[in-house]
Amino acid sequence: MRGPVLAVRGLRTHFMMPERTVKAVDGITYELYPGKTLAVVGESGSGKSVHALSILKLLPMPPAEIVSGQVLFRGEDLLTMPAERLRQVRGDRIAMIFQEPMTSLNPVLTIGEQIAETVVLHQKKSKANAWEKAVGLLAKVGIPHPEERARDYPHQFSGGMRQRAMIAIALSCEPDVLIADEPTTALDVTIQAQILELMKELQREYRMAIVLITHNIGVVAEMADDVVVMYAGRAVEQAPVDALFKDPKHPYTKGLLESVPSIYKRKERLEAIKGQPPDLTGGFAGCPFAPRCAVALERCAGDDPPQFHLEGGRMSNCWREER
Amino acid sequence: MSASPPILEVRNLKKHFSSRKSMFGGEATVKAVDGVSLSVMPRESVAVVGESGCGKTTLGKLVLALEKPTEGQVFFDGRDMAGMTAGAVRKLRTDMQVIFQDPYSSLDPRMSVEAVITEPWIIHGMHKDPATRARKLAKLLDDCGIAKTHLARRPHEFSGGQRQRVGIARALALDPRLVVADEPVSALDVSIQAQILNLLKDLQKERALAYLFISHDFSVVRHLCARVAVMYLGRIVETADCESLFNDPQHPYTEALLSAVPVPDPSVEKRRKRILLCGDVPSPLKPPSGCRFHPRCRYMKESCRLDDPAPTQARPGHFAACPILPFKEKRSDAALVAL
Repeated sequence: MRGPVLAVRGLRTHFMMPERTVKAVDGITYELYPGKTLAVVGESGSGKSVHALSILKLLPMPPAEIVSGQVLFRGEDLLTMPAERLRQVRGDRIAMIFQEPMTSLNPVLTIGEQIAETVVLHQKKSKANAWEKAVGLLAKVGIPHPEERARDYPHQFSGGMRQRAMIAIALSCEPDVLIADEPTTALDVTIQAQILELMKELQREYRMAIVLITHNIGVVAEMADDVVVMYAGRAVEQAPVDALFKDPKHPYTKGLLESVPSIYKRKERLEAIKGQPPDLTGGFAGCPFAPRCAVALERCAGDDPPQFHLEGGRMSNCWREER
Repeated sequence: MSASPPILEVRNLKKHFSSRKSMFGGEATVKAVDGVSLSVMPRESVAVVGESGCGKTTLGKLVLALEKPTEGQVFFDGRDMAGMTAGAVRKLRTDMQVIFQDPYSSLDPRMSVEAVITEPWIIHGMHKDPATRARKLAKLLDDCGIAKTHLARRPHEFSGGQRQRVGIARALALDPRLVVADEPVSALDVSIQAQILNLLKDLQKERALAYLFISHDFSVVRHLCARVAVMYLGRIVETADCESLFNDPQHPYTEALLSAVPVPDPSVEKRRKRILLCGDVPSPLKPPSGCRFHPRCRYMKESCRLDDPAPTQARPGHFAACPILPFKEKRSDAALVAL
């Protein structure tokens, strides 16, 4: 397979509220290849999670509405395919894990039952076979004594183990794409390190493509091949990970990278981005980042910048790239 | 050595919570804080770092006299807080204040920003003269970066960063000398986190504050604090100056914890080898025997199962509680028990 396994084109998801429209996702385009990790990074309200939920049409519609765009899975548009077909893809070919495993696991079913459920549903296996597979998957994600632990309920698992169980469910059908929405945000750093390592191992083994949604710049540096930086619902910069960290183009990306404290060096002051993230109702006359931008030009306030495509497969949504 | 006494000194502090295990079973004890000693000098910022459940928040509550210790003492400005009357403790609270993690739940949604910030003055009967109050308030707002026009607003009208500024202004209203900050930036986005960290740093300088900074985030600690104490299962396993700890950690747990932090630089991430700790933090209901870290320690020797280590000085001002210290020299000969 040489083409992208997942291609998102011009995705826009708006929330139609009685008095206003919230443009939660307002333009994101990318391609994801087998075995690669694409990180979507942004702060709260940037639209990164809504974008992920839009891919699998997991948002309540209404109020959410996918206004435009395509999500092509192996060339097939997930947004227009019949519900029945989408159900086959979802959980089977494209799996998703969430930030808080406690709220995404069913508290009244055992861990083993929840993994087996997916296997029975998508792989038409008998219950006994599915259970066996569930135990095998728990072993695979590093749960000790998997035969016994498969009979436990989610509350008997620690946070890290629950996320491992979620990953086991996601892996049960050996998906082509894993969408991971802040998978380690609720975990301690030592447990986060374990889970990230596990994801990398499993990715190598299954040649899985990963969409990693995160706010943690360190996690991006560790995991990603390519990065999409989101701000106010749109992709403001896209680049391969090394290029992005070495030479960020968009002023927001620069600000974001400079505002992160490092454990390796102590800075006297952090270069904070001034101001607050914008309100997404209505629209923007110009660049949504202009009010906080340290290097804004005169035109930025009133003139919406297009996406400028640069060398090395990069994109920046900033007037400063105009040549 | 500075001649002035520490503003805060904690000696062998313990807090045990009992929890009924089952309907029939006996009582189980959670040793949330289990023999912690620590001091903070005036104007010094000391961090307490650890993972969830290590007891760092309970330690903060004990220091603020919001919890009664099971054992041990807390001295504020040389005075033992245990022997004080409730009135004396309340008076002392003007000198020690707290900033909480979640600016969404720590502010009363029915109170205006002005009411939130000035309430401590009413409680303590301070600045009754309207002119003084107005002047004090204006200075506080200015210092904390809150717009005057926002005084009549309520907390829900603000974003997380602005709320945290209000929380900081409230904590500083009484001109405290010690501020306990419990994860004050963990709920904030990075760009806002940087603003608040800069603010905390500026305020410390201007107002000669001492911080007891409770956090799980080493990079934030490195930025803000001069000294660090690392906690694990109710104990302090290592204390040192920031530079000494980050450059040469002496306890295997600290070493693993530092190595687990993802570095915002892909070229570093690709080169470095990370130490992965196996398993979870054991339950504080049943802490391991001997060194509490031994089941997850890659340098573990048989003796670690039995020897409960006392803090040892590795170099001036740098203490670690590891029974095989200095573990690094013993790496080669340590009989590494299979994990």
